[in-house]
Amino acid sequence: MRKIISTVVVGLSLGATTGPAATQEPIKIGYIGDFTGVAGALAEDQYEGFNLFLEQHDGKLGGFPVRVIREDSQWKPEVATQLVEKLIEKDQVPIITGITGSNIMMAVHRPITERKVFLISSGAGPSPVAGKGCSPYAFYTARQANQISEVVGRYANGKYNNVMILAANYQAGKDVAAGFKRTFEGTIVEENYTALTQPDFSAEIAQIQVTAPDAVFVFFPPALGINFTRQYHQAGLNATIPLLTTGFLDDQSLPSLKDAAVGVHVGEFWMSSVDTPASKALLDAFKKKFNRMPANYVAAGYDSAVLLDAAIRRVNGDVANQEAFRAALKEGSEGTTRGKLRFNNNNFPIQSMYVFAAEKDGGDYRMKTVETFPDQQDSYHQECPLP
Amino acid sequence: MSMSLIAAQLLNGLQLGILLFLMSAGLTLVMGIMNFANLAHGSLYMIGAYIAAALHAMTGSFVVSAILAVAGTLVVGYLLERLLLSRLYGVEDLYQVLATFGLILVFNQTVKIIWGQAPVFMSTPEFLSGTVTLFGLSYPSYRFAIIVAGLLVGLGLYLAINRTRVGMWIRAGASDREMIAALGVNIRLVNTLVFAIGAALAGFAGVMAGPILSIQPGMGEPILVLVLVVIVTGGIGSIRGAFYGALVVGIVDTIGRAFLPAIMRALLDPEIARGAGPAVASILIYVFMATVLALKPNGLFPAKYR
Repeated sequence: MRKIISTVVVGLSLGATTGPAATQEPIKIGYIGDFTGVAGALAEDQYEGFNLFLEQHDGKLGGFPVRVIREDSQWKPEVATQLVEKLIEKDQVPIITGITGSNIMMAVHRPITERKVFLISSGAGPSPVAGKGCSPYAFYTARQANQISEVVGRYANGKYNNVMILAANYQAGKDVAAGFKRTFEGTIVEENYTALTQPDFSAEIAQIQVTAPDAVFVFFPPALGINFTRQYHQAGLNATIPLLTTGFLDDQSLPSLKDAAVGVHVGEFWMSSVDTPASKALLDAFKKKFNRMPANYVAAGYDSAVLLDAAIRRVNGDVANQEAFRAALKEGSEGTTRGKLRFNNNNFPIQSMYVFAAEKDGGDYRMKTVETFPDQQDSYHQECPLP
Repeated sequence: MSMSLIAAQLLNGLQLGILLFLMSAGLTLVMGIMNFANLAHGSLYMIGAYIAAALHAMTGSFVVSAILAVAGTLVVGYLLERLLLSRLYGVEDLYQVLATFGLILVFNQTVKIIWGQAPVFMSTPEFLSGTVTLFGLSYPSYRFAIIVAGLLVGLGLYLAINRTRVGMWIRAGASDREMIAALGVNIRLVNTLVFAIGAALAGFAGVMAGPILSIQPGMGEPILVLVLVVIVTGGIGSIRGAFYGALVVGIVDTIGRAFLPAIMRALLDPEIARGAGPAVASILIYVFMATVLALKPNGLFPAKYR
């Protein structure tokens, strides 16, 4: 009863003013990230990107004040589903954003979108939610997970005939390898998967030398990937067998890899060398605030705020009108770190994918753009029934 | 599958074995002489690596930071034994396991507070950063250095244990602890000494592994599992057992990882082999351990003769 009265009162008072803009309460936005656990650093980056845009705009999106309710899903799907319940039932948020791990995405996607709450992922983009499981209420500002290795396969075409694949033996390792195999047209001469607990790759590196492929494609979680790259360099192989990879080498890990990374080619959707005005502005602001280089999750987090800003402005703050807000999000946005953000039928971005390489420039090391593949769509969008 | 590859993989196995030996030598004595299950041995390895990385970043000298890191872990080991673990000698195994497991958590959290969650890196010393061409394959000289340093330490241990009076006490302690206490040897001193030296050896292993691996909280646990396999296989309390056990485990593990997937691909459907190959390779050493224990329950080179 009290709820009805308060709704009436709020409704009347809103009606009495000149529209929702003047005396509106802040728009509530739920934010879920894996701040503790193995993906902690990624989640922190993702949030800082989002937060940086908010700080630059006095805590407003689309000109309307917002209240961000930040929650830690701890890389645990069961924790994430409870947080979703809390955010939707208790806090009554119309929008949930963030989402770091693919496992978290798989756990929260249905509970959020089934209730017609908007899900703006600035991190995870696993294949099931890009294909048959797509939802009109879920939008993605990073990339579909397989794209980062598909672009490496495209890059390798025509350059290398025989490639050896080496990856950690877990779901992401297999998915990334599958992405490379989907687009690479040459021969895979050897495919090897190592245990996730194995930190030393001496046996595999000897194997690579004997197999002597034209290039090697590797994928490991960050710490292992850095181990591998350093050991590969110690064996002196960088000069003879080019290393192709994705996922762990970026502006952030480069300072700890230095010479070991020089010449390594890596597929990604963003690095600091991507040449857009927003990218440059983000780079400057981030370096000024944190005194280090931003990684790609910073850009995806930042772009999620740019998207929300544009969409909220289009509906004049009225996010409760779900149909209008959905259409406003679908329009995408200008001014993201990757230029104009456009959405495919499955609400994943149609965007440029890049191959970057680490190079030494005097005493400095930096990631430079080697090749750009414009207008890339993910491989699952045909399976999505959305128009 | 060429001879040169087999030779290179044997060398890789040897290098892993040497690292495992450095870790096992101390722990096998602690378990043998003091009857003490110290799960925190892996933490000492981690501490050695962290101290070396921090000092290396400060001083720039690998040798100096290695020596100081070994000394540092020796001190940590000494304090640990004196202040805490020596109080737990008489009690049941379960309490020892609980206490040392707690220590693992404390140490991991402590390094996380000091150095953060992100991995720390240590560069290879300049004079060892090249490669050596061997059997037609290039091999990092640093890995050779590990083998040589490990063998030297092994030789030193052998001499110390077989040719000195303290070594005699240690050997006697491993065989029958009550008897040597009854004969008037200060077993408490022997305990402390063995524990501190064991800690220093684990620290040394950590230092040597530093430039190859990323140094991060919890890095000691995966290797501790291998070390326990080595100790049980070689015979608890036996240095000789730890040496041969470590070499065999290192070589079996490496050779298994290197060749089993290819062999399975030749025998099985490629799709099944791709999944099963790494899985079988990673359980190989446990199969080996189970086989040894079934045939020789006291390990390959038991210290206690009953």
